[in-house]
Amino acid sequence: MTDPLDVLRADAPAENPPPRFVLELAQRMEREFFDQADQVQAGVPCLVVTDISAAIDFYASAFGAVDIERHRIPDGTIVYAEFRLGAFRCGVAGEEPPYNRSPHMLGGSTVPIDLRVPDVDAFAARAVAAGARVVIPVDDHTYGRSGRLGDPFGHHWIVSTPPRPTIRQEQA
Amino acid sequence: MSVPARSDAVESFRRLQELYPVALPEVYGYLRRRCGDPCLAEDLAADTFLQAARSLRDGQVTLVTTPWLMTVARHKLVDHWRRDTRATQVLESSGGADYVDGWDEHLDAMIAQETLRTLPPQQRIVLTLRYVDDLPVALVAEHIDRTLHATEALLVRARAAFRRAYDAIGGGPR
Repeated sequence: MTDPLDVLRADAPAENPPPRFVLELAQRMEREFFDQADQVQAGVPCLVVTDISAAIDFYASAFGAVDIERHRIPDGTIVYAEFRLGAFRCGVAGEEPPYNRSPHMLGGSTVPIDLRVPDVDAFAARAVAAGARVVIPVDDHTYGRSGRLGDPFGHHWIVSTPPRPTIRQEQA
Repeated sequence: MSVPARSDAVESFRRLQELYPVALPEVYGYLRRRCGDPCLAEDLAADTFLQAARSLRDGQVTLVTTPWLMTVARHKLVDHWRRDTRATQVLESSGGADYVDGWDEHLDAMIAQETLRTLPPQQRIVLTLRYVDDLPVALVAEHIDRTLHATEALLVRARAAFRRAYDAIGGGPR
């Protein structure tokens, strides 16, 4: 015997949520899995440069560095600075051998900084306009769209836009 | 205290990330169709996948599949409806169970869906699980955390309330 309420029966076809939501949730899942209260809370690399003031000016104009802290000794000399690029926090210190050696002292950078940005082409264009050097042009790779820039202080910046998580295509 | 992610848990999490592009539209589609509200569907879908990430991290599960996600999503929807403050009071006041006896007319699907949306949450939950999702009564009982008999009784009252609401909306005999 059929039940009149059987008319309610409905399957639930797959439906794509808004792309913004797809990306945000993918990132939240990653944080939920890896970010834990009893683990390291942040990492802040410190770039050694020949001129701290010039470096933070450059990072502000080339990359959009904000929230800049300057640490001075009594005579006004800046000995350390820290800035933020979105979720990335980074320090800048002057040369102080044998502890702090800049790429210029070593003849090259030993640690490239890898930035993931939403629009690598726009990011690289702004940096180049501010004086960054193209080491490897931005191009498409299996891991995303990526390139490498050199700053005037000898540090290398790998800039990438990772592939976005794509969702299943709607059926026609 | 959470435990650090182990390498096998990380491997399982990577598999969840591979599943994500296919499973998310399934979960979201289910939730959106059932609750009708895209924002609520997003919230519940997010809760579902975040719980999956935590469960893998804490070692509660070692493999997340689409059916596992759908079951969690259904629980999230039921929990959401249960939190609705109207749920308990209407459950107890819905008498007239015999109203549905002998009701064998053919219902208009559109009006029936509209009727379902007007019902108090507890009744909407059992009717959605039983009729829209086509779950056996035992599984409905499991989802709402009631005994089989209590669930059967609740279904009878919900059907009666449904019929009254259906007639009131204009789907019944004139």
